[in-house]
Amino acid sequence: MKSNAIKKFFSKTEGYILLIVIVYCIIVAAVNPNFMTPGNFLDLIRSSSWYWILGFGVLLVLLSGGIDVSYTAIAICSGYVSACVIQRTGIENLAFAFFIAILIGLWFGAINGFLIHYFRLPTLIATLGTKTIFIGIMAALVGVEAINTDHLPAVFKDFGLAKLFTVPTETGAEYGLSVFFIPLVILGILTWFILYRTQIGRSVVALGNSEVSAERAGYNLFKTRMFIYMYVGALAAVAGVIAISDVAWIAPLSSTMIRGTELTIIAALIIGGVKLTGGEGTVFASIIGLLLVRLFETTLIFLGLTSSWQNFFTGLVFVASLSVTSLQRARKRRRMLLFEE
Amino acid sequence: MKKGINSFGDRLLQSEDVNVLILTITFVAVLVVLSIVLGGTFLSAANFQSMGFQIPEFGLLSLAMSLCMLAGGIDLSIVGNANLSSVLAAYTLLALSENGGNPIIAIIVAIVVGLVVGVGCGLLNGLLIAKVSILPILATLSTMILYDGIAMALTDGKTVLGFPLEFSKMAIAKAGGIPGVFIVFVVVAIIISLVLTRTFFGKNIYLYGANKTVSLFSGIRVNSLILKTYAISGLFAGIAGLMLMARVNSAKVGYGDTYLLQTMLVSILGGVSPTGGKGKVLGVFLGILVLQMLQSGFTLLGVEPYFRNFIWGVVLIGVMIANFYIERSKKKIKRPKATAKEAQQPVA
Amino acid sequence: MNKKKIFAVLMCLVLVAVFALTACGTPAEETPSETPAQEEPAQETPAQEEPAEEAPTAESDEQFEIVMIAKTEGLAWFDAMKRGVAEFNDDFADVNAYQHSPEGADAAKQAAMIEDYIAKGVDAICCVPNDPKALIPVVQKAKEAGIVVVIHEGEDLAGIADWDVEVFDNYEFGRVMGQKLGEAMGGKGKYAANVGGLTMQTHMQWWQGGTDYIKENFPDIELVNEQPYEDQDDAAIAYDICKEILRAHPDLNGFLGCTVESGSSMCRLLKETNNKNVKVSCLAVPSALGEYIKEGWCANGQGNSPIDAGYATVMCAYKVLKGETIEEGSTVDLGKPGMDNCNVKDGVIKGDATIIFTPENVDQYDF
Repeated sequence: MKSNAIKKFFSKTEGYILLIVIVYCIIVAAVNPNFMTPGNFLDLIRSSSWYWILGFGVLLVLLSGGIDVSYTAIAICSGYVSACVIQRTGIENLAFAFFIAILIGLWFGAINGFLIHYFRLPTLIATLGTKTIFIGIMAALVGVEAINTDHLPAVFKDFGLAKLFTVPTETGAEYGLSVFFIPLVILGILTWFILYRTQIGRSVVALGNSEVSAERAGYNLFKTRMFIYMYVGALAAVAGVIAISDVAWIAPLSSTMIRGTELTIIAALIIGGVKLTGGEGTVFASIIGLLLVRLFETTLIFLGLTSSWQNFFTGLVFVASLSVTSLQRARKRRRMLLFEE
Repeated sequence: MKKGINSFGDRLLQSEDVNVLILTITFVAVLVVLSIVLGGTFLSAANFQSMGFQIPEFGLLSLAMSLCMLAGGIDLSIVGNANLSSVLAAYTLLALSENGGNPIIAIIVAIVVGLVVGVGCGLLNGLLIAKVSILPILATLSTMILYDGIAMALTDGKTVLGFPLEFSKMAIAKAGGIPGVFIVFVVVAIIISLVLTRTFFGKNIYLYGANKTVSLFSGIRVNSLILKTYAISGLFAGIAGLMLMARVNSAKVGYGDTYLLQTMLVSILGGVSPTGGKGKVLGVFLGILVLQMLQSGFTLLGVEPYFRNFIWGVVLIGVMIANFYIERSKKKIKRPKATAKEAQQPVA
Repeated sequence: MNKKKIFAVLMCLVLVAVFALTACGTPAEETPSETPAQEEPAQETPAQEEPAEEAPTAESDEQFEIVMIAKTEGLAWFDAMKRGVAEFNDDFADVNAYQHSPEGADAAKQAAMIEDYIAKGVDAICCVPNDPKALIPVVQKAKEAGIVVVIHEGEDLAGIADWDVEVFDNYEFGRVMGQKLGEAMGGKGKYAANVGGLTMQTHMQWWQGGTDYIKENFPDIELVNEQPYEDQDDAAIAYDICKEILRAHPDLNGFLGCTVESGSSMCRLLKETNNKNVKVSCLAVPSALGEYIKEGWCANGQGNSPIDAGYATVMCAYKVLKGETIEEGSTVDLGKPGMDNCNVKDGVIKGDATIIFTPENVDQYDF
């Protein structure tokens, strides 16, 4: 009974990817024993937390059959505006920072949802356009000048340094679990709860499976779409504040977040087993997919490779894992005589 | 395609020419406005020449993107492909010309290598899409990272340079005041336009883009169609890579990274339907001209890049909304009872 | 239905309030934060500025148009450089100088931008190249069109452009960085080094200088990475790389950072993990590293002023436009501290504007 459940788990994409993650970790640990320290894992959680939070939002979009490429821009814009507001008003309060950011995130998300619902714009194209529009709005509101560490409000810096607990190492340094873990867990559970325990969550999945049937089933698709994109906006805003606190400075125009990260996260989710055409995907899949990609991004130095090799390996694994999952899916579809995408 | 329908207005709305018409009007409007605002600086021969040098590489990438979009797909790997092609061509060029080799032969071999690599990368995309049945957006996203990674691992992020003088001369060659690279671009655009409109292959691309399932059951060899489409897209990327390499006299990973989103924008502005099956090379060509004029005009006006992107974003959304209303009115003329909802198709 | 409306109205109101806050807050905050900082440099500059140009108004009917094309938009460094260019514009009535940068530190876009300015027919183009060698053809084109080209931080273009302005001798700058690191480490231990990119010539010269000095003078110090790590001048990448370095080498004692991003990321990580074993010697700007220098996380921060660099580069172009001869082997005054007695050699104008930031002086700089 038990072994059956395990077998079933590993026959799913998430299972495969988990296996790959474990094998990869063993390889890295074998090459460089420094890898297997608790500090490293605590640190991986910290530095990946905003990737995961963004991933939860993207999960909803992918589940609904859409693609959003503007969410990292929302993260940058809302985080940056929030930092500017606090800098200029002097209200050093973390809740206020999140409040401002989420407000902007909700608004930007609402713009996305509105355009996509009312004008039936393909989601990729619409968000491609709104991405630049959001940055333009931000520039008009607060400017685009980078904020370096010294000028960043202390509330961001303190948030980035705060830890739930710390573990000293023999060299006198200490590692700990960052407070970023709290929003990560809360939002993870919230996303799960929304998807599996609420009407609106089911309507997202229904929309992804078939728009027509979702409408016939009586779901209000306007409500659903607005919810999806505003939820993504809000999560992106949280992630933006965390990302700024993480590195303690922000250069909104040259940030890598708006130069490729958005596509990497989508790819990571799909590697984890989320279906691009909608309807399939779990919170766990998004976590595990992003974990694998983050491992590739951050552990090459342990293998003694320069950063030049990072994209090569990431690309290779992308192609390989996509091939495996796609072939499986294609075979299944052919067996069932399904030809439409 | 059929002509001779009742009124001009109906015909206009029903044919795809409306896009070309709008673009022509836009083209003229942009030209006039920029000429008024910038005066002599914009209308100078030097400025048009400068635009003629900048258009080809970006234009070819846009054509590559449009072609894949016509087939209902997308090619995110074009810039990575262009860079990989140029890096390998650069290594070939260096190896052959360093030890007193004939520079002309070295250049020819290097160009061939660049084109072959471009086609090869395109074929890999095609294989992943056709044989392994990965969605185009995903397949090309993964190869985008892969091609970039290969070129990065080869070069270690360094610039490859030290080409024979003859090579960079190619980039600045002019025929009667018209940049040579621009002529190459126009010729390529005409050829692909003819292929798309006059051959079975071209028509099949439209059919496949419009409805994959139908084309599968109508006897089209879908797999070979996809392979060819992406191979051509790869070829264009390869040519663009070589042009870029000649213009900046070096090859490096990361050149032209910011082109990717603009190529999508141009394709859509040019009237290519992102869901496939609709669009004309002429439209894309006009779109490229408009974008380049705006780009150069904005630079001369001192407009910051983010603001220029903002304008493009607004234009993109605006065009899509306009298309939505045109689609809807078209549907009303044809089938009054049909709902607008059918306009929506899944992306990618 | 009603609830929704109320919600919508509420959101609108709050949003308006936020924007109002930001708008009102702007002038209020900028004054207190920037005025004290401006005092110090102001003391240094006036002496140089006045004799810089005898007759700026003599030919003021003719306006020189000078454009400064920086590496990329949206980095604090180039934001500051923009202020230097604007300052020059204000100082000289017969000059229209401004800065305009391509997006995403892209050499191809930078070349395209220069081409547009050649077509526009500006009088001079100043440029901080992303990749000097990639700009060779386009710089030649500009020269053929009779445009004055002055490069900043790109010695590869010396001899092709009119002049290359360097704020200091890059190799020497690196040696100082290495010396300070070696001293801070007490002459023993392991250290890692980082640059923005292997193609960034100035970074590589600093790196070479720093590692050479340590190799020659501190035999007990070991470099853990033969090839420097690269962060592409990006804060997020730098942060990740620094983290990896610390993880992969838990016994690290020193860090040589040739980018501001890597230096400040490393200091932040050290502060975060309360790690006092690693000494950092790096390129610095006060706005990024001031706090760490004061708190001791950064053992040595050194750099130059981007404001002055922008000013001096444009000044050089202005001098050429005015027809002043700058002779090989002589010295030239570019009107900023450290740049008032620059050596001219092989097409390179080299100043000595290195600033070593200390906990005492770091507050007086405004960049």
